[in-house]
Order: sequence, then structure tokens, then C-alpha cells
Amino acid sequence: MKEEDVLTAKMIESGELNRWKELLRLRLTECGWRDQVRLLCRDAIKQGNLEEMTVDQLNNEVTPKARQLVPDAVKIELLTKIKTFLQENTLQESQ
Amino acid sequence: MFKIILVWILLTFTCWGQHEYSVQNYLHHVKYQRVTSRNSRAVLTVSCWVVCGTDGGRRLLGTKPSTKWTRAGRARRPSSRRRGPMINMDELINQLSATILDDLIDDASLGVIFGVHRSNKLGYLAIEDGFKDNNGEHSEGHPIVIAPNMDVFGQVAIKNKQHECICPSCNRTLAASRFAPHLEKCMGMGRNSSRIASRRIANSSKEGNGNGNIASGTGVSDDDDDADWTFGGSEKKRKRKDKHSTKKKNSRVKNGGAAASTAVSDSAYNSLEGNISSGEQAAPVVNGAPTFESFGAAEKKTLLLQICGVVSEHTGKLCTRTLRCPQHSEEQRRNIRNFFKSFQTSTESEPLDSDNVGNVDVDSYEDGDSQAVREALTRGASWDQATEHSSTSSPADSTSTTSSSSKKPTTSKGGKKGKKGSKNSTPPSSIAVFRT
Repeated sequence: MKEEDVLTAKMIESGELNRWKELLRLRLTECGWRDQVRLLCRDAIKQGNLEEMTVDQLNNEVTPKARQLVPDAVKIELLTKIKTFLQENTLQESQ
Repeated sequence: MFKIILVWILLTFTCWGQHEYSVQNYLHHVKYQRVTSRNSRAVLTVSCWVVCGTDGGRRLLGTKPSTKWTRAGRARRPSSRRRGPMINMDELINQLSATILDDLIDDASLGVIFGVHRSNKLGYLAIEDGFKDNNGEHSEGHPIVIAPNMDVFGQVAIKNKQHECICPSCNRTLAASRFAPHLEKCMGMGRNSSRIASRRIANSSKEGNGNGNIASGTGVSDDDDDADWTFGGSEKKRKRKDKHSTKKKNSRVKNGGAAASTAVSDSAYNSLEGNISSGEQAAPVVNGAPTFESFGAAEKKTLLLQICGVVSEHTGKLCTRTLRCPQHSEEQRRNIRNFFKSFQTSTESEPLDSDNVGNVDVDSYEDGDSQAVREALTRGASWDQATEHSSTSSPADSTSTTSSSSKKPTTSKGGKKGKKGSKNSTPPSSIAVFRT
């Protein structure tokens, strides 16, 4: 019943989630994704009201584009990692 | 129980055909724990599995689901629940991992967004991205110029031209960096200035000759120097010229047409000095003889009247200070003059010399009773005394034989004559000095 909860807890407990985060940050910095997102943010700020722009507004505007900008290689790498982790854990669970 | 069934039915209908979305949604909800009550969460989970199960069944059957199918689904629920996870595990994992990945990406982008937002609020966004911003926004104010022979502000580069100064005393053009050292030498301030020697000679000659119109007011040569410093360049130059001209005149009068400018006296001084340093060990004039002899005894005398002339132990050169130089004693000066005298007696003719001495003394008396002149006179007199002494003692220790003995009487005569000449016009006080 609580399989997902258990999985989430495991991800956090084992520190795997943090590891993924770090890896993703590294990869994204390497490929210049951060700079691209920065540019997106700045464009959004310039288009919108300079002072009134909130984080939520920015997030709404930028996040979808930012997702698309992530290179496929990075995506695949992380996906495989996550999948293997999940599979291992579900297998343990089922056993 | 009824409630649960109702929710399940509802969910089944809503999620019909778009179970993927529902699964994703569910996972999302689970993740963000937006589902509050444990009970409803459990219900959602169950319903989700059921949907998956029906989907699996649908796939197996390959038919469109009928309305009755739900009920059948419900009937088959236990079995589907067993099979569902097993069949759709990979898919589920895919979904889950995709969700997690998206989540991670959102997290990363949120970090960037926070950073940008913060920098925007604090106003350093433009500064952080400086270069691009300069090109775009602030280019009106300070555009970056990339052009040859210009700096980034668009100003023409200043040529590294050296400034040139004109020396006020000698009117030469010099590089500014060399001006201060040059001035030190040219104006005669430094220790090793080339002009200081001639300046001193000129000053002391003024005193010695007694035509001290300039020096008579103060009577001290140092004050004269100070006045030079305060005067402007042109005035100074004129003054120097005057000095030269008067001196030239004097020397002409004295030497009877022999051209003796300061330059000549300088060179005389140099040759004398060279002679001294080379032939200090009482060696008769060998190397420096021609130069030494090329200047008459009169010139040598004027030189010795002007400067202290004591040979330094350290440098082996003549002391170029005035006759009242505090560094050397009267005794030393007398000795060095005796030394010169011994040369003179052996080489030079004396009548000119004696005349000269007389001339000098007479000149000095015309200008009268200033203290400086009187002192200078006493120096001259002491020199005369020295010559007298030397003339008397020269036969005893002179190395040369014939010439010295033959010229001895003339020397003494010259000395006496000079003394006589001075005696005629000396005030009583200076006579007293004389005789001591």
C-alpha cells in the first residue's frame, strides 16, 4: 500500500536523492544550462515589471522552458540511475 | 465502506483512458504529501492500482472497455491487484523516475531563479552580467570603444612624449627627468657641481681684487650665493656676464694683455692640481710641466689668492674654498704656498709676479675699508710673507742648482716690492696684522 512512501523515504534516507541532485547540478553547470536559465530569467524580468517580479512568477515562466533545455544525455543518465535504484528497491520489496 | 466505494467509482470514471496522468498525479500527490488523511490516501492508492489493473486487462483483451467492464474489473480486482504491479512495474518505474527527474530539474532551476531574483531585487543583476549589459543597456553612457590608438573610453591615447625643460642658467633643453640633476650641477648646489669651483674662484677673486661692489654690502661670499639663488635666470646670467667681463678686464690689466677668462683660470687650476697630485713628493715637474708652465706665475698667484689651495690628504686635490676656509689652518695654507714657491723659484720669472702682487694690493685698497677686503688683504699679505719665507728658505732645500740661486735675489726683491706697495696704502690696523 505504502510502496511509494517507502520508496521516497528510502531515496531520502540512503542519500540517493541528494546524490542525484548534486550530479544533476554538476551536469547542468557543465553544459551551460544554468547560464541559459539565467538568461531566461533575465529576459523574463526585462519583459515583465522589473521590481514587481516574484519568484513564483519567474518560476512559472521559466521552469517549463528550463525543463526543455536540459540536454537529453543528462536526462538519460539520471533516468537510468533512478530506474536502477527503484528497480532494486522494488525487487527487495517484492522479495 | 460505502464512502470508499463511491470514491473508487468516481476515480475509475475520471481516470478512464487517461490513467497515465492519474498515476503521475497520484505520485505527485504522494510526493508532496498533499493528500492529508491517511485514509483517503489509501483509497487513492487502491483506486490507482485498480486502474492500472484494468488497463492491463484492457491490453490483454484488446477490446474496448464496456460499461459493465468496470464491474468486472471490480470483480477481478484481487487478481488484477496481484498481477498489476508485476506487469506494469517497469512502466511504473519509468513514470516514477521521470517524475523524480522532473522534480530534480525543477529544483535546480528554482535555485537559479532564486539567485537571479535575489540579485534583481538587490540591484546587482546588471553588474553581475556586466559585459553583456554594457553592450546592451548602458551603452549610451559609456560605450566600449575598440579602435586602434584609443583606450576603452574612446579617448585618444596620450603619446608618451617626454617633457623638455629649459635650464634657466645655461638655456639648454633637457628631458624633465634629467632636469633636477642638471640643475644641481648647473646652479652649483650639489657637492660635486662643476660650477661651484669656478663660482668660488669668482667670488674669492672679487674679494681678493677688492672690486667687490656686490660683495661689499655683505662682505661674505655665501650671501652672494644666496642672492644668486633668488634671482631669475636671465638676471643671473647677466650678472655672471658682468662678473666675467669685469674679471677679464682686471686680468687684462693685471697680466698686461694675457687673456685670462674664468675658463683659463679653471684650466690653470686643473693643471695645477694635476701637477700637485702627480708631483707631490717634491718631484720636479715632469709630466704636468708644459701645462703648468703654460700658465704664468701671475695666474698661479691669482689662483692661490682666490682659493685655499691646501692639498687634501684624501683626494690629493687642491682645496677650492675661499682663503678663510675653516677646514684648513693658516699654517697649512702657508706650507702649500711655500711648496708652490719652491717650484716658482726654480722655473718662472718673477718680475711679472711681483708687479701683479702690487697691482692686486693697490686695487684692493681703492675700494677701501670693508672688513672683507681687509681680510683678503691680510691673506694676500700672509701669502706674501710666505713667499718671503720661502724665498729665504728656498736655497736651503731647493733641488735645482743654478736657476734658483740666480733668481733668488729677484724673488726676494719681488716679495719686498709687493710688501712695500701694500705697505704704502695699508691702514695701520692691517699693518699690525702684517707684521705679526
